[in-house]
Amino acid sequence: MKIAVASGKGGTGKTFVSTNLANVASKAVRVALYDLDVDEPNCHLFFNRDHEAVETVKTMIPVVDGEKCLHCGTCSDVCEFHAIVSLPTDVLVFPELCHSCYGCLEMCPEEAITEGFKDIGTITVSEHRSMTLVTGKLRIGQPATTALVRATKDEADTNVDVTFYDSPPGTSCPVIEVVKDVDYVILVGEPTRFGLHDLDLMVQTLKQLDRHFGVIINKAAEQNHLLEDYCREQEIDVIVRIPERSDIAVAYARGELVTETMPELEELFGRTFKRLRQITVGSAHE
Amino acid sequence: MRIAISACADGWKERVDDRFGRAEGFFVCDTDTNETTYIDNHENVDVAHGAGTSAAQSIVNAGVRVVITGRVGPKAGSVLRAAGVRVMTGDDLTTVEEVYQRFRDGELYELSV
Repeated sequence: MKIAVASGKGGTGKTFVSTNLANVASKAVRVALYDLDVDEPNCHLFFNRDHEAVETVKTMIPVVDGEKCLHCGTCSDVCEFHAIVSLPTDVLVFPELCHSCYGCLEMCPEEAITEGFKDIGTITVSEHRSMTLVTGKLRIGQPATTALVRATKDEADTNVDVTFYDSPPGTSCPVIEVVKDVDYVILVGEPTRFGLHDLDLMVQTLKQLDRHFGVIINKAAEQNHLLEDYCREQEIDVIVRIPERSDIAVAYARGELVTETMPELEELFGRTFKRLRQITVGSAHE
Repeated sequence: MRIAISACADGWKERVDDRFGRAEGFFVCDTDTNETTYIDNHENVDVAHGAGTSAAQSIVNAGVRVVITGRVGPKAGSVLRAAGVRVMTGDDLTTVEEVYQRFRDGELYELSV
């Protein structure tokens, strides 16, 4: 079973939810947590890790053989991202613009383009008790977020019962890459106007992608029913409400897993995980 | 010799567009024949990445030898440099017509790209 934790807006509590859910789940089943917020991964801060293994992720960039090139301009014409520029006496490649589509390499009539590589980031696999943590980390200055999200997901641990994906914020390509093939998406929302606006963007996105999803209302205040009202109108399942409490924020800021240090939150996340298993029965695929 | 002025639209009376990669277009004039053409660059205005390299490719493909604009980004700059295209600018760029006259009068200066 694969569950993505996404939000739309940043700072609503995706990492808070995914680390704590993965932690309680790992006491009952085999769990892998993937930190796919590769621009700034931080799930690892909450776990004591063992056996860290780091691998470098490379993607293809074109290398032009100046001897063979006739400067016909085909490579530049086919490049959707303007990463290769054909000049009368030279060909310039801009690796940071390249999306590694192989278009130029395939289309070059002189076969003057071969495969080179650029490092886009790293994938770190570590163990925390019975949980596997897989962290994608983008190399600074390499805007290849989606490619690294894909590569990190491909670091598949088939030996687990439940996989959690901690998604980046937003609703653009990296998020689509995270949620496109999961069994269920948890949307972590916060009850502010801005939070509602971006939650709605994510809801519309998931509807288009035909994903099964529900909402966790984080930082829920007694008198505030902004997200409850929205979810009722939209007929969206509210999985659980996590109260707005400064002691939770303080514990999180210290790098604590509240499911280890606060019994009532261990109970709340335990209940949430049970609920998720009930919801996803039937929709899960191997 | 063909010179290109980054412009907001096609025409001598139009305003100069300060940007290179994300300019609306380029007004191109051949100084020998006085023939003018226009390169529409509109699709690069809002593109996420690659506006500069794309615009520079269009300029090179059009056989332009001098570009007059306000600002050029580093990637577009390296393309223009590699292609031997000169980049000129001036203070307070107004209309295409006026900037072209200043170019003819030698009042513009080289922009380091």
